[in-house]
Amino acid sequence: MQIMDLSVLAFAFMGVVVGILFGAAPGLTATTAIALFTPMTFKMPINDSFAFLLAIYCGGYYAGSIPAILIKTPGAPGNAATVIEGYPMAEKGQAGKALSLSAGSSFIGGILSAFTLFLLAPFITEFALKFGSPEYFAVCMMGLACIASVSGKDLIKGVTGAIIGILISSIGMDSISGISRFTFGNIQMMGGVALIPALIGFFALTEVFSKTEGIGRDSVKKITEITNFIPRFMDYWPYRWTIIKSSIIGIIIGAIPGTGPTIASWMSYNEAKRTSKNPELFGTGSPEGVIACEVSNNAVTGGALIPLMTLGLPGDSVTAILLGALMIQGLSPGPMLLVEHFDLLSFFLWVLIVSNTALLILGLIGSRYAPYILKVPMQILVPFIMVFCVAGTFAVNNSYFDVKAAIILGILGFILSKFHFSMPPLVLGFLLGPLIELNFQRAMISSQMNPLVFVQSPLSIVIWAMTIFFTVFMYRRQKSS
Amino acid sequence: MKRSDVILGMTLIMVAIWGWYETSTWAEIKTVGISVKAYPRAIFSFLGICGAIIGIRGYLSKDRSRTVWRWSTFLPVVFALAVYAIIIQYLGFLPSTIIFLISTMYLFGERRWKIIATVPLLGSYLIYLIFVKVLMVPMH
Repeated sequence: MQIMDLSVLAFAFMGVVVGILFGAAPGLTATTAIALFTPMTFKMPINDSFAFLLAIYCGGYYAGSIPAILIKTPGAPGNAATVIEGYPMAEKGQAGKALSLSAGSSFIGGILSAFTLFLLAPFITEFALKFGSPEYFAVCMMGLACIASVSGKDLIKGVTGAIIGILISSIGMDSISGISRFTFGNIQMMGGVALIPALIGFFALTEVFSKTEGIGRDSVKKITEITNFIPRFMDYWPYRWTIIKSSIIGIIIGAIPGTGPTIASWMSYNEAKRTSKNPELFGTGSPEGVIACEVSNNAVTGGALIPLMTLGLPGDSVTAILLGALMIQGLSPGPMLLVEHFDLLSFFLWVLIVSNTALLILGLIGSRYAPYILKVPMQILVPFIMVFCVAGTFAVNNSYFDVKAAIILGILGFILSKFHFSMPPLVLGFLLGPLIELNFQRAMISSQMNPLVFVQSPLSIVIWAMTIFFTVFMYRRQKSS
Repeated sequence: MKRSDVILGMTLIMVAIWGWYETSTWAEIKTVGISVKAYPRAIFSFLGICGAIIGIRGYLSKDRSRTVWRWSTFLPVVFALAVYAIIIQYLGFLPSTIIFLISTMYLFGERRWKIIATVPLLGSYLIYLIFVKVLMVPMH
């Protein structure tokens, strides 16, 4: 795989720009951007495609801090904690400094997590190769349990969302018996709901429908003038332990299937506040708070790629889409991915380094232009996003059926969001549903219908114990946050 | 009572009951060790249980807050998108996209005629170039 290709650099740079634009526009996120642009990468070579998508990922996660700092509105839930310190800094006339610290911190978190991915993934792959169906079933259940426990305020709605996702994934022909399920006699439904249309529906269209409610009603917020601020080494050195702790938290939380940056940044913020030498400054515009949140927010990127590359399970909502992008490129995410394509790992490391460097440069130089991104006219942008959704969905299989499916799932996602469901559990249920069913059936058939097969091997017992531990831990952390 | 949760809970229970009924119409396949109905029925059962919990919790809740639906924006947008998805098959990508963009931009409150006249034309053509000419997607 050509990693020093000029086109890889160009696509990585473009991806960061796209990610920053989507991440900074309030109401739009990196997830939307990747859902929209994945269909455009089908015909690209794999290295260009992933350079572009991973760069959107890094740029988007960083840029959510821009509206958080400037207008007190996080660009994505993962930047919510940044508001607490970033906005007071902007009010004190330090918006440029806050934005620069955010860019620098995102760079540090992103780079550290990229190297962690590179170092840990081969070991986890070796471990995962020992997995049989019962262990895989247990890992999938861990992903579902973790995401349900961190899904918004409501555990039961998180579980329900995951179940709805599993049900949607069961539409179509049963892979073992061949029977048609919930197709209502429609031949096009026999193949089930395709992955990318479902992701565009659940993430992009749901977000667009939610956004339409606010168009014309958004109050115009005053944005302060920004002067460029180039952070020095000494701006970070006093907070070195906060940076290390936040990176570790971001990487670990990111690596737990189904979690994501929201809980990572809140945990890092709380930890930084708890151990700070100046806790009284928190809430009044503490640079340490901004650094803690943004380091862990972007440390999630490399962390979330670990389960994707080693187990074929998404670490967060963006990697759920990247899972689809890998499949579209003809790769099978799972333990065999790195065995067959080990060069992919060094390529990902390279792209993450390039993308994080690009976001640092663009973030530092471009901070004075940040207010212009926030003034993007939604009444023009949203219709174009809808066109991209339709064209992108069609492009997957050249099928108008997929377009209709995406619209219906977008409407379903919007209605569920009105009932305070969050989309990640639903999508993870959709992704893990077929894996859960397949591994459940395989394990049961191979054990002559003995349900104890799921807790017989020491590996299974460890995974189930980890599932219980993570679920309880996450749920308690989430509640206390 | 939190009405939205009660309605949601009842809906989920009804879906679960429908799921059980629907699976009862499937033919049993004996060659496979597990019944083909078992997995979907297990999922529908969990859905029903979650629905019951949400419904009962909503009924007992002292929260009186209501979900705000802005149908006046949502329904026209969904309608426009649905119409767009249909007419694109007959009119082709460019004309239907231009019509869609103009109508939705107007719907969202854009009234500057210069913008409405130029942006949809140029934007549609740009997207057409990307998808049809560069990516070779057959959307003519």
